Amino acid sequence: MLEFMQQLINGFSLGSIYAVLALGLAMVYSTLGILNFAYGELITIVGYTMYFATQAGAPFLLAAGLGITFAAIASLLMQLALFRPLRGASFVTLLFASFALSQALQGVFRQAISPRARGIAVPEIFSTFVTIGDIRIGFLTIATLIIALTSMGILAVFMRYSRSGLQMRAAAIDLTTTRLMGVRANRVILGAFAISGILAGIAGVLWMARTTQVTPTSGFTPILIAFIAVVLGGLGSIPGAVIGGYIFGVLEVFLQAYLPIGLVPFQFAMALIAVSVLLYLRPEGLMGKRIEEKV
Amino acid sequence: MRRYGSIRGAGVSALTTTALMLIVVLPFVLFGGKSLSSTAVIFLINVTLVIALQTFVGNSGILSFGHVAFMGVGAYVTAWLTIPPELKSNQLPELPAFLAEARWGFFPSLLAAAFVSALFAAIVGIILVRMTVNAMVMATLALLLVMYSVWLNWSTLTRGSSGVFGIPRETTPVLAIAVAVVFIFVARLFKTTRIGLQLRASREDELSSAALGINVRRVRYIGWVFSAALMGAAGSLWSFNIIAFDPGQFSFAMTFALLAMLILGGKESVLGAVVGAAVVGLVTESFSRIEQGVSVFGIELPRITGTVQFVIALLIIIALIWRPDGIVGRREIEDFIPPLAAWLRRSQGQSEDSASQKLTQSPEEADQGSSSDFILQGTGMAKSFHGVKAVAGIDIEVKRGEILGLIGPNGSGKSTLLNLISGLTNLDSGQVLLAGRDVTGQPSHIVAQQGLARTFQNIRIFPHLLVVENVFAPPRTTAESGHLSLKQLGLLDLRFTEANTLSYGMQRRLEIARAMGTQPSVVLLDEPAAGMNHSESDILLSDIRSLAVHHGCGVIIIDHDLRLIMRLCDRIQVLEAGKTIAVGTPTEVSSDPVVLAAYLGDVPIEINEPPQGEISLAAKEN
Repeated sequence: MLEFMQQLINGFSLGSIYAVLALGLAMVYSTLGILNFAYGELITIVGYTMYFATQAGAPFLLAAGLGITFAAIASLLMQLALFRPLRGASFVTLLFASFALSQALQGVFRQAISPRARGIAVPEIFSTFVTIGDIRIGFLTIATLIIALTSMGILAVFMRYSRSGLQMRAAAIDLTTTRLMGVRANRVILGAFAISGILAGIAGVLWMARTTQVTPTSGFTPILIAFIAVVLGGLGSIPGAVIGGYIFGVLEVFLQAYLPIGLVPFQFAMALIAVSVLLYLRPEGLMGKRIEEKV
Repeated sequence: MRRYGSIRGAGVSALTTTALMLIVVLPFVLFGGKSLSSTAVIFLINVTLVIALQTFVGNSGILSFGHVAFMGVGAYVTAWLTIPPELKSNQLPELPAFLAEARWGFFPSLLAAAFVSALFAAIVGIILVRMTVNAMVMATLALLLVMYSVWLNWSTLTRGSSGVFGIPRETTPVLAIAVAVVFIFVARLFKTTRIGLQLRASREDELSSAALGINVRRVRYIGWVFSAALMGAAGSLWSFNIIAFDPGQFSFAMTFALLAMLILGGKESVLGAVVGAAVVGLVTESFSRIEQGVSVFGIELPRITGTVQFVIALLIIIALIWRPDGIVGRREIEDFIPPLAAWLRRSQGQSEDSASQKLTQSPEEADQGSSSDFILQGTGMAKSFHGVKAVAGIDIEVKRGEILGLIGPNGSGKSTLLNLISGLTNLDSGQVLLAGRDVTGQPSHIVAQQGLARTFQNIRIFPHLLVVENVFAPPRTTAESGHLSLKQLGLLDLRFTEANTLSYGMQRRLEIARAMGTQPSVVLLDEPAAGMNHSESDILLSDIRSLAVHHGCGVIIIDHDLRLIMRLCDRIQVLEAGKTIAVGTPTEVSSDPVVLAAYLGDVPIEINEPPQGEISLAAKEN
């Protein structure tokens, strides 16, 4: 029971990173219908920023702040340089274009930095443990939970109570109508990309604090998990993305903890198969609505 | 199989594409020496891989990241079947006996690879086709990863990351050419078969293809399995050339390379697959030479590694911005050679004409005797959206050969009613009988297959298909009925035009032709004359009258032009706020005080002008 509780907290902690990741991806998808494959490279950018900043002697928190800033800027640049020229293109074209961008960026990292992993120095406190009653939990696990929940809370307040948030929610429902109401589409879209970049930045910092190293393909696993969480939660649903992230996080931790040794290598595959079964039962995802097109 | 007669055209097209490919490849093979000849073989293998991918991605419009998994299945099956037993016992000692002993030849292994791959796809596909299109794309990505981790970890069968070696190299240029040619033909023919056409229709408009009787999940499933079979065979061919491989080869780099070829060339065209494989192959080849360091005009360029992927990625981005549909776009080779296209069309036209001459009279006309029965009966139909009662208990019925007008103010539930009848929206309560059969709660493609056809308020043709393909996509349409329908709506001369290039009025007519081609017993027309001027809509409505008489089908028509509705319809049903407020002949309805008050304001409408004019003219044509 104790172990179960411990695993549950670990699962929720990992799940909150996934939730933040998925949330950033879902922000752009719900506004523009773009699944941005190069979103994963934002995580890599956070990693390299933190690597160079800490190398230059910056304290961890400053490095993290820089990482988030650079991720947000990179996210805006993606919109301006790639998605805006492709406005009006089909879902497939946009997805593939972002896939190509992701490959190109990986090429740049490989050429400009190194194909090999770079270690990121993290504060020692991250590897300490906190004991609450009989449960021993890593400091990082708790910090992750708090940071992720706070960020999502701030975003929720922003979306609900600010004018820009209202405009973004309106754009997510119907971008054309929102424009006709006098909202400047470019501003809303850039806003969505900025939030997406900031969320990727926060998730990236949490991710790097765990993995403590960055490679040109560091963005691969995060984007994949974000995709899975978003589909599981229901494409287009923002709360769905968060729920999908948590479910996948808990699923991963529990599979790792309770799977027989021989099957551990298939852990990821198993998680995907579990998700597929869920999707078979509910093809539109957990929070997704069956879309009834107006005819 | 019923088809619209261009299988021969597809064959000729494939033949020409093959000729083009051979012109490119043969000089390398014949005069290029060993190194260039092997480059040609790699190109040909890429052609097969990309074509296999194109069969699904191009026709269904659904991006698949997962096809490389099938390539892996094909390659591993080939490894199990063809590596000499003594080598196999070293690498994979725990392989089941029947595989450990196996020593198959080239073609049997190729077929086995295709078969196993198709079988695997058939299982995966059951889950996949249930999803929405975007979720499906993500699921194919998951498939790629699951299979990658299986290859990596199921070492009994795959030897994990060390990979397998020792497949006999059997890929001579001749053999590679032979397989590539078969692939070109198979893919080009598939595109033209009824299933391929329906798959393309679902790519263009999923909803309206279902409303015309196409079982979208079924055609996607068939396309998926078929494409996986090709991919398995192509993977087998690939492994015969590379002879040793490991799981790393079935991951993202390969997926990216193949998708790049496909999308750069033009994903909706078989020719595009060939062109894409050639262009990307050329770029890869030249850059990998640069990577090894070359001297240009005596200047030694520095060695740069890892540029290939980067350059291809950049190329893709530029190409997508410049030409979103790829280098050749949607065109096949005949579209680049006007005389060939003209010849193909002429010969197809002839075969169609001879087919349509067999038609003496519409089969529906024979059972006009039962015309007093209602062909469509809806009772107590109701539907609410978030508490708003869009349709609140409506009865509707129409006889064979009868035209029922449905009028009412905006938001009175007219379009919702049509959606409920055609199964696009689920009923909350009520019942729909079509030709005596209960179709309540059936999905729209089943309702359509029972004999219901419809058009849409906002035109929903298949924009990038030809006019003739639009008409022949629905399963109920036969060579004769489709041809007749094109003729009756005046589209015969335009039948080889791409549908989205038609004028607005013609697009509306095409939508009606597509519906009438299915030989419906009931047809629903949602504002067919919207946006037309008076003379255009006069002609259209007289055509509708003659079609209804000719086919003996019931027609339900929504239109806002009361002048036309009053003249055209046998009966009129007036809706308001989701309820029927009047039913009757035009004269009855137009003098009904409830209708006048609720719908028309208190102004009486004039139907003084004699309604007979065009109607009798139309009747004479039959």
